[in-house]
Amino acid sequence: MTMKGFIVRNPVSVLSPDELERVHGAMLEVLRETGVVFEHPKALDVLADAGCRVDREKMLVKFPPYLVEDSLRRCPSRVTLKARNPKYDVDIGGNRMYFCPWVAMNLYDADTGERRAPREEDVLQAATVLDYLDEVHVYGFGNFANVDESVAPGLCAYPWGMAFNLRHTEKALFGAAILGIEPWIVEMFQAAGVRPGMLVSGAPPLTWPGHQLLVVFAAAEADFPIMPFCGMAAGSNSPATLAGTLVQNYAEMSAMITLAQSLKPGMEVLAGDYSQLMGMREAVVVQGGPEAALLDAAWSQIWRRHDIPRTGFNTRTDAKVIDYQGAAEKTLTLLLSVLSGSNKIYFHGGVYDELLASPVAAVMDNDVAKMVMRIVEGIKVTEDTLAVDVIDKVGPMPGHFLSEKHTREWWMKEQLLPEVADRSSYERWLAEGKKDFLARAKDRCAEIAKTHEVPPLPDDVDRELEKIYRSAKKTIQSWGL
Amino acid sequence: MSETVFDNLRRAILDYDGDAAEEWARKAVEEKLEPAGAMEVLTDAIRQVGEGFAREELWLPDLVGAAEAFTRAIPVLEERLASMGRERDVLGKVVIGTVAADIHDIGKNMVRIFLTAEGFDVHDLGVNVAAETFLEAVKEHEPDILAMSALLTLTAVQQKAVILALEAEGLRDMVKVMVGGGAVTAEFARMVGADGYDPTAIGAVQVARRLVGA
Ligand code: B12
Repeated sequence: MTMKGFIVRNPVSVLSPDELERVHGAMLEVLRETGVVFEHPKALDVLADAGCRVDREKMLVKFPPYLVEDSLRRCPSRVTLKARNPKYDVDIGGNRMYFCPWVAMNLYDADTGERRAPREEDVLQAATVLDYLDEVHVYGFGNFANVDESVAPGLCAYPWGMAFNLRHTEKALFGAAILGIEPWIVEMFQAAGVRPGMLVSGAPPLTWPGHQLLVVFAAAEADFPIMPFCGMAAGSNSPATLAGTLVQNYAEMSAMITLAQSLKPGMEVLAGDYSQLMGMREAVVVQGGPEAALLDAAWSQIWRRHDIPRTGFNTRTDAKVIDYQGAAEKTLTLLLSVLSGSNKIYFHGGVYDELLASPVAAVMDNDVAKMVMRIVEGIKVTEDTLAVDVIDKVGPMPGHFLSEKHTREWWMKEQLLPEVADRSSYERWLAEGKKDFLARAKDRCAEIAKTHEVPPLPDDVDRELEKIYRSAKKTIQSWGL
Repeated sequence: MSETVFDNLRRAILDYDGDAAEEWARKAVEEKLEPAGAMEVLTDAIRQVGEGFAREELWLPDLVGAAEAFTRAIPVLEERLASMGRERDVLGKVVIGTVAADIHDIGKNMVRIFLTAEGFDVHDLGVNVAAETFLEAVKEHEPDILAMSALLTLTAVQQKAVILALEAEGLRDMVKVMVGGGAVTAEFARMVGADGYDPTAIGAVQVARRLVGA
């Protein structure tokens, strides 16, 4: 059994067919003329064998257009992830859409409005809440990628986090590695019998770092899908124009897809993008707002053209607290991302960019996800829903529909019942203590954290993870990291 | 005559035009103008752009554009100075890089550009720089300042490793250490035993000036 997610039948476009074609042509030209650096000899060998022109000294690869087109064609149209509990397996691609949480550096403390480093209990609370929330279809990394040093020092936070996630959610996961720690990460997932997506990060402009290529090789070996992405700040490490940013990242991604398909034909790739803007006043990355929404929709369109599944990164905000700007920016980008047909969207829990996250925000986001899904479901038009018979029966005043069987049958299918958002009367709202969305979400979050239980891993798997973690830790510490 | 060359040199910076900056620096050399004078013109122009940025009239691309134009003209004038057996008056020497395992370089590049424009001589070791590489660079270039950038909390402690290595080699007193990047806070900087820290690239310039006593 797999998670249903939801279906977006008629995705919207922001580029005309002609514009899409020009972006594609420009991408091929960049790959042919400028090329992409792959900082690993094995990648250079594979691409040279596939027919690329390789300058070994510069590690620069130039791609013949036919090879790129062919690789994009051969890239599978689905990515499947296997979770601890098979009911949470996901089948990403086509018109199907899933949500997963945003991973951030620090916790937004919804009680104090301050930011702080997440402690182990915060990570656990977020995990419990995300495991519970029904519109978190994929767990990914959860809300936090790090934890305080006393729990897992330095780079050990990576394997620690992967083991932690295997223990504290039954949903599908992502894996990531840097600096050659991928063997332990892969081993952990294999010990638990799951199939994660492995994150691979490029370094724009036009560079794939060696230690990230090691992750690609390990994923190929383990038969795990990869999720490559490049972090662009338009105007800084990609062109200031949205179109130029599309071209550059399209080239980076197509180069990676060509490597993947040459390395292991049929390798599953979930295309990422992760394009944002450079803030030209204080040099910060600007992640929310209309440009992000447009880029997101364009990416959906680009990857749909190749029937390659895509993950959307852009449902973020630059607001530093949970407020109106945050809600507006997140919803703007979310709606366009969903309507344009992203297959998986990072959404739940993000507060400020990807620098702050909060499980309280995740609870609020879960309701917003439901609202967006309701929009996507659309208006159902059938003989029964047109309701001519019941209109005729109830007729002009003083007739009413409240007691009709048709009403009892349909209202709950048509009306969304949010878990936290307020649709109650003013009087009830007063009586319940004038709570706003945030206050209600805090209550709900605390309640979920207290009551939801995630079944533990089988003892032998748990012990195996501990063993792998210890071995990873020993090696990492021997490197002085 | 010298005025027109200098005027054009200044204009090149104010127009953010690297090609022109290099070309007019060459002209200045050809016409045997005093290289120190040309450098003063360049520094003055950069300061003007910096002030415009501080007043929020100019934007980051203007500042970076001017700084890069500046760095195009400088080597030409330095070469001329060298041929006269002299050296450029720099505020100090800086070695900079992003720590091991970390490939984030947008912020580090900005720090490099701003320090260069301020009049520091900066050697950029790039990203994913191993502790030994930092150490070798310190031995080779004998910088006044070692600047490290780190965006991953996971590997920011590398900065500590480098500082410990400097101590172990008896080099710690010869160089000031400045740290920064998204994963670094003032508290963290204190914890690793750095001499300077700032959350911004612009601020890094003031910190560097303070560290070299300029
Ligand atoms: C762009 C980006 C990327 C790009 C980087 C492209 C590039 N060429 O640099 C890519 C896609 C490659 C990338 C990859 C990854 N990233 Co990243 N990335 C970012 C992002 C969005 C922006 C970083 C940035 O450039 N900011 C703008 C610059 C200007 O800021 P800055 O570097 O901090 O510099 C300023 C100051 O700090 C200061 N400064 C900088 N250096 C110095 C030095 C000194 C001495 C001084 C005084 C001052 C100073 O000056 C600058 C201007 O004022 C951040 C999230 C965010 N919104 O910030 C995540 C982020 C930094 N990344 C993160 C992560 C986890 C990763 C990955 C590990 C993901 C993965 N699992 O694969 C990989 C890491 C790969 C690696 N080995 O390094 C996390 C780090 C979390 C943490 N603290 O541990 C962040 C915070 C995102 C998150 N979700 O939490 N990333």
